[in-house]
Amino acid sequence: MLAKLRFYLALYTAKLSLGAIKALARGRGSNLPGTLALKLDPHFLSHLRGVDVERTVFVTGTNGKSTTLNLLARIFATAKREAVVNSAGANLSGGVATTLAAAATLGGDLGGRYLLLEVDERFLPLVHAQLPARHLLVTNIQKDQVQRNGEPDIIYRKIRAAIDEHTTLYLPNDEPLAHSLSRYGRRAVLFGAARNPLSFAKGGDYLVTMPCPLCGHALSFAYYNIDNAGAFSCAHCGFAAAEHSDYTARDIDFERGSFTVNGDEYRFHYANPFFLSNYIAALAVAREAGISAADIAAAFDAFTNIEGRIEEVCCGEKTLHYIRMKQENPETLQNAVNQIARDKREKIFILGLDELVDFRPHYTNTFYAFDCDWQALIDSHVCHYICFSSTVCYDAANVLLYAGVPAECITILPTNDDAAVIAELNRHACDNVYLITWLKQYYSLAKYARSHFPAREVSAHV
Amino acid sequence: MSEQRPKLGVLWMYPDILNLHGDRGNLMALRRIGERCGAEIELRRHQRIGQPPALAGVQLLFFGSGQVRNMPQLAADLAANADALHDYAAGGGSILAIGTAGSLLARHTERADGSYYAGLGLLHSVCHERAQVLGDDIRFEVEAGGERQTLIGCQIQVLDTRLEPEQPPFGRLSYGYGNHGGADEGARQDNVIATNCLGPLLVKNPWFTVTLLRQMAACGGMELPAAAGDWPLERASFALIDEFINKKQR
Repeated sequence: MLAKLRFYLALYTAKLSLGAIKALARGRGSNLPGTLALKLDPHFLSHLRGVDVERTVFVTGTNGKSTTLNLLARIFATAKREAVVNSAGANLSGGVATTLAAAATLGGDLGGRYLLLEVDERFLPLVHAQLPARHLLVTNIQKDQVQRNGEPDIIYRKIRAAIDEHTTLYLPNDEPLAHSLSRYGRRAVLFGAARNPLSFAKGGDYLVTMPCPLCGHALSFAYYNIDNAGAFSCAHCGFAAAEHSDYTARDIDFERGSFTVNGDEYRFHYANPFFLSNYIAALAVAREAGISAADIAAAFDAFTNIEGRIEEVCCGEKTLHYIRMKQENPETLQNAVNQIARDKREKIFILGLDELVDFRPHYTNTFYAFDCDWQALIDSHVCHYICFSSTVCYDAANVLLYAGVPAECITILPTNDDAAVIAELNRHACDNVYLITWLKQYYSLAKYARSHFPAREVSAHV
Repeated sequence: MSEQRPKLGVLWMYPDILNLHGDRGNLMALRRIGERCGAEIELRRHQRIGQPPALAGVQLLFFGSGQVRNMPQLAADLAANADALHDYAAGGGSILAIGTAGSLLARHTERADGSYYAGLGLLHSVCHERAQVLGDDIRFEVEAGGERQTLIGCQIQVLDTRLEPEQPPFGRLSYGYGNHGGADEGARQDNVIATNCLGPLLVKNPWFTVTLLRQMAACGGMELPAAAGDWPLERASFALIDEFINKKQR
């Protein structure tokens, strides 16, 4: 009886506080109501009724969780499968609790709907202990937020702890660490991309791969589809990407924005290799849920990604293309660099790496940039480089110098001042500009540009 | 006829396994700064577990940081060649281990799950796996080549290190966590160094890289023919981050 009372108190507190926050601060409050609910009832998630664990999908991993979840949500909506989704990116236990509290009836019932939930990899065991989803999609396990995560193995162990004999796993065929989880669970569904026009090889004196997750010896890659994901194999123990995964994207045409899986054609607007892996991941889950290829194709066609991944803003005659990277994450930095390098037109490249402020203490890590290969960018007709930041601009410039950029081609600005960056940009004639920096800094620069230059139509090239 | 440049051999230990925190930048720095000092850096890789490291002509063994999960296997592999590695160090060969790789040179390491692996024992230290990762900037002073140098970088601490009384640290902290929250940073026994400093260390602190190269050259009975000159970009970087650290201390 007391447990029931505690649950209802938690539920109504969450619902009321969510309503209050929405009224007072639109767009906020995705974590707090659920956090309050979990404080009042630490087993809040397990006390919700009408949860069908066979219809519950967790999306976790280092990169691509939000895009994949939003793709899944679009597919389920297109297929008229009613689903509860934490699409606002609130993926900690409080965020999951907020989403479910909002969706539940006043009796705490979720009505057996599909639950499509992005879950932060560190919180996965906690959430899974109360809400034992039978379906777990792992986008990838890579170096990320080392100040908090240290090394990928720590995340691997967190995810492993949320897999039991009932779990169906959806895993990337070409990413070794996540793929190696296929040993566990009741079944593993593998998804991936075949070799395609943007697959690449690496070479040179400084090439490194990674340890085999099964035997610890060095892996080799016949080719990469994205950084640290591709046709891997271990000469020592034989662990390798499957030649044919359950869902393999083939006939990939990035110019046209299309690919096929098991004979069905799909279009994708965000046509780059990194997003492609998100599309195939969502497709794999949806097909296994019995959703038709036609519904998936229609959903992909209508899909618009959440804000802040790839953006464009005009600065007078210049078009500034922003490509987001996750802080301290070499794979997303490499992906952004590769994407810029695919534009062979003359360009200016602005690199605004900055201090890390996600956790305390703030610090000045830039070593992850040395994990990246900058050669393709250098070879892609960059006429000038600008490195700005009040703390690490010289370190960022040094990364480029070590990669072979001539010193006279780099301007270093020891500031985060928008006006200074735009003024330096305007000293150069080239109108095609690419920017990699933190999202917050991009928003600040974009706001400055919009307030100082008249708006005009920008032509999408990315 | 031009004089032949001194050739310095670097053996990059397990590059595909110890590759966690951009440490290949350290190898780039050795080559770039070595060339600036008039030396030719011959970079070789020790790739395969189960094969003895080819130490002939090597003046530096370089170990990058790696996952703790992989360390017991590498420690066992090194143990199979312990005599050769001890002889190499006793003969003046340099060893530089970054981050968690320091545990390969220590006496032993205790993991959080209670398991244990023995290191080479080249350093009189013991490591313990931490329950929580710690990340921060780091700034410390070292004695290098007869002068005091201040080095700067970052630290991602997964293993804490305790030095035995007879083991000197590599440096003394002026900011950061170091080995275990005290004043000690890393460990140094003659030419064998373990440090927590990432950065990459040798990119961000070229003054130390020059000292290391001199030490390597001396081990091979050579001298670096050219002075490295000044480091305006790295000095400017140092000044910005030094100020950032000072603000944190305030």
